[in-house]
Amino acid sequence: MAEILALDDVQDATVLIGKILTKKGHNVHTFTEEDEAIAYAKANKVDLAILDIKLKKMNGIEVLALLKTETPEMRAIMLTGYPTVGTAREAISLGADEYCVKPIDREELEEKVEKVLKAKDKKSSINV
Amino acid sequence: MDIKAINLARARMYQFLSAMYRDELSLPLIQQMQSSKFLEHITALQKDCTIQDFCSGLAKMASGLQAGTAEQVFSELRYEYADLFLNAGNNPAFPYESCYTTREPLVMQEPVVAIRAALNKAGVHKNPDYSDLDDHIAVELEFMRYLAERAAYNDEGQEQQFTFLRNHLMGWTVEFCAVLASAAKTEFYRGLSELTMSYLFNERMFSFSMLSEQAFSHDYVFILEQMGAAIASLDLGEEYITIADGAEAPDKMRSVNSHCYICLGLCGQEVRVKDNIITGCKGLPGDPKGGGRLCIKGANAHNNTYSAYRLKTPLIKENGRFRKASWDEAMERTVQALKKVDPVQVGFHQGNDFNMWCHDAVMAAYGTPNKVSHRQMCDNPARMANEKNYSEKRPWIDYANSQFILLFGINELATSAGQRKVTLLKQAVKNGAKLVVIDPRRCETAGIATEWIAIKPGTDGAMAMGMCYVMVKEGLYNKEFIENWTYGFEAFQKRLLGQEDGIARTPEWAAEICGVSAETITRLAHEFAAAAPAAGANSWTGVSQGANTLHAVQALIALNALMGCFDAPGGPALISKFKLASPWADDQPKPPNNAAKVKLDKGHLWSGWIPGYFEKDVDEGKLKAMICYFGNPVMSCGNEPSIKRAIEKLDFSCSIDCFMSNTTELCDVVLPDCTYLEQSRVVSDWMYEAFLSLGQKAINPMYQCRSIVSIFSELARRLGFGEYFPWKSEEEYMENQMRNQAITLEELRKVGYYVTNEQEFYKYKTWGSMNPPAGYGASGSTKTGKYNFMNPLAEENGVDGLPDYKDPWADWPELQPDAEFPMITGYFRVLEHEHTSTFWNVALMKQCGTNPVWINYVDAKNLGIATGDEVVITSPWGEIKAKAFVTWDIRQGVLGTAGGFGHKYGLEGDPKYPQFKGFNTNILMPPNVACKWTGTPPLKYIKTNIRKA
Repeated sequence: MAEILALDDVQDATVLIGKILTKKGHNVHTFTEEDEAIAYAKANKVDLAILDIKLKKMNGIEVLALLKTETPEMRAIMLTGYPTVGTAREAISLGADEYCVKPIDREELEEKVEKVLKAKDKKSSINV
Repeated sequence: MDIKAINLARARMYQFLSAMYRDELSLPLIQQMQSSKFLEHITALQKDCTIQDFCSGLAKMASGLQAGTAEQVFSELRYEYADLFLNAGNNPAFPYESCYTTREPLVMQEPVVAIRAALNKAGVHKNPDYSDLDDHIAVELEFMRYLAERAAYNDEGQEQQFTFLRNHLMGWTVEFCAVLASAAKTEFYRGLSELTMSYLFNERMFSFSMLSEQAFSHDYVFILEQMGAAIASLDLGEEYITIADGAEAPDKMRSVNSHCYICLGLCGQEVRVKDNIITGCKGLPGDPKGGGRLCIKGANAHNNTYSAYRLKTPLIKENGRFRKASWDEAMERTVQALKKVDPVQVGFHQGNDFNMWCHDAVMAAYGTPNKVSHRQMCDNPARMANEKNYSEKRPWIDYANSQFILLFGINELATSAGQRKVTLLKQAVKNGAKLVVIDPRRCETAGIATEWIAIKPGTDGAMAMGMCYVMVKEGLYNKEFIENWTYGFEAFQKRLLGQEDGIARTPEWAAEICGVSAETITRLAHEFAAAAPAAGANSWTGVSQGANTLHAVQALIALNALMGCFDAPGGPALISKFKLASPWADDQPKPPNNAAKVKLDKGHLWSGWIPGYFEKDVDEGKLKAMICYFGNPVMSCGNEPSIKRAIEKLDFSCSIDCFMSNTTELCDVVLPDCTYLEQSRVVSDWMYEAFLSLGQKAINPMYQCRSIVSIFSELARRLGFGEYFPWKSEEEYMENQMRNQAITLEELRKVGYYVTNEQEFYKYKTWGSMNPPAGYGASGSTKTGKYNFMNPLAEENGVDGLPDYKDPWADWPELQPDAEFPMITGYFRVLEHEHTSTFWNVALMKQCGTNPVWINYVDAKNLGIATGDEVVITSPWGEIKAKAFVTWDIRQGVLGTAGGFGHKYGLEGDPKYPQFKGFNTNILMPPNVACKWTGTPPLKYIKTNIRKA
């Protein structure tokens, strides 16, 4: 069981992620506001952050950078409806472990969460 | 468009993308892509397309295509293809799924098994004619084309292709495209990365729509229509290139009993292989060399083979950049260049002795007398001493029975970690044997020693002479051995006692020089003598790569001779290997040796090509071309900038290597070599027992790489000596080599080794000589049949042949430390690396990926340096930056760091992995300097200063 933070500006998406992953036995903490998610991560243990790239005030890459500064060993999955090469480069350089395409596919999300959490070593970050 | 048309258009798009990645783009294809037809469709698409990234990618590709004439674009793109995908550049975009599961540069990982299963399930397999790997992006894209076409023509369901898309391409191409966009320098490949990512995401959305039976995007259908029309104007053909019909069941797991060659140590290795994929390496039980163990390098040897940085095809340099070449073109270019130059002006740099009999014979037939092997850089002072004074370059001590072990500059626990002798050494220490390690640094072996003597660099000879003095002066030596089995004792005795030059080599005299107290030297001499003959002294590069150390090696080995320890239980063993027969059968013609009997450089004892003088030899017109096999002279032969300049000034150079390196990058032609796991050989070896050691091919050569015998045989054929290198397979010459043995090659394959002679003591008494008998080999021979205190070659040449200490700067005054450069800097070897050859191996780099400079606590305190500080090390010849490691485990006045670092390619050179970075101490060396006796450059005696950056 892992402590998972999910941040998406669309509440339905966070609810869906929560439902899918709670069923798998994880504690899922959902947010639609960036500052609330960041504040939560600062005060609590987070094993995995699932971050939408398109948010309200910041983007998911900026949030990832902040969270990684606080907790470098935290794993991260980026969610996106339409990734660009630019955002992918930033996310990889910051150490995001996986990408998930929206709309969220339950099976894919389950698989990727399990893969990321079970991996012996965090994926190397690479400078691109 | 109906669904059939959509699927066909999707298939065309996959075919197009696959063609963009599977090889460099051909000139005709570029001409077609520059045609108005193709560009018109693209322009039309861009005008109305609403999928931004797709259009942006397309626009960049079009701009790249229109950047010049077809020939100009073709040239530019082929250089870029070589840099990005053939590892000619330092920032490659690995096109393999395996590299993105962990983001590490390793191929042939789990995704390959899954891809093979998916292809198999669909009734196809990777086309063996396509020399790249199963999880190459071109294969995955073409497989999607295959599935889309099958859906179109056979009205099959789409689930299989959507599952493959999700489980494979979508799982890694985001990262691949990001890496490609970051690494690419041309608009074309940057655009291709955007186009690929955008297309695959739209495919994913398309799959969602299809699976949920919802309408799909009109924008996407518009793209498919327009791209379909554009692609139709290209002649991509109908056939599949990377996949072929027919399911192929995976091969079963098998074990290959072989010997590790990652450090040339040849420990027995069991290689596990499934479906032609190496899954792991472990020690080969019972093997005399490894005793069933492997070191970390051996256990990760397959990660050299599977490094994503491997060279894959021949490369030719053109306009200062590399491009792909066929074997035919690259070989012909090499042969024509060799034919143009006088063979006496060609250097053959041989960093690897794998099937050396073959490359030696080819280059001798061609006629070059200038060969450099590992020995000149490694420990030629030891070899020139030991191979002339008795019969072998290094006498491994029989640790199992030893009571006193004296090691000068030899870090067994790092350099021979997997070997059985190290297990025996540890056990001996545990059982009470005394181990004394003489080294300015507390190396790993010093860490388990009874006593660590932090000697001044380059002064081992003085300490050994002081010990010899005690043994002779006090009459402790073995008179029977001296009388019957040595030559030159009287002269040696005179020198020791000062009867030759008035300077007795007393412990007090030695102490002044080496910084070890006279009491310690005397005590150690007594202890050695008391333990003899179950005692042994030995040395390696820690001594030999100092300056002027031939006589030092003679002095420390003389301890064994004085006490009659050779071949005693617990003493240094005499080596004898049961020789193999010739690779040429009795009825096969042997190649001629056309090498002129001339020596490029002349030393007091060693003459030939001295690579430390590389630039000088080139400047004097003595060298015009070089063939370099598995060598990295730029990083290892001497002052790095000087060697680099030397190669740049050559008329022609060709490198045969597995990886792009600081040397390979300078060459005109690069030929991709196999790793040892892709080729075979048999050698006779020794580790207390004499035995046959089989290096057995575990997998077929990867990519377009070729075995070294096939490369040199082809070179011979083109040079007009083909009849002498007739073998069609590895088995042919190995069976010839085995024809004098008690077992067959087939029998040897099953076990991997065969002991020809068990361990014996005092063999020389049976042989009647210190040389092994006929049929047995060692690396040298003593012309007197005895141990020579007086080096016979030196005697012949009229130079000093007796053991002694000589100042490191005696021949090169500029080497002497002074007030401005008071520190002595050198490199040391570490367990995780083998010279410069393991820096493309991510598993080893993760264990040791940088080389801080060790500095003594007192020196650091005086200079205000703390661990982790950036420091600048300066010599009169160069300057480098490093991180400091402050420790008590190195002598004051000495700086040391792990060797082999400083690569411009591989993990150190790749900007994607900035955590791996080090420096090469050779940058600090003086240019054109080598030992005047033996040719070895003073790699571990560089005067420097250090300051906080």
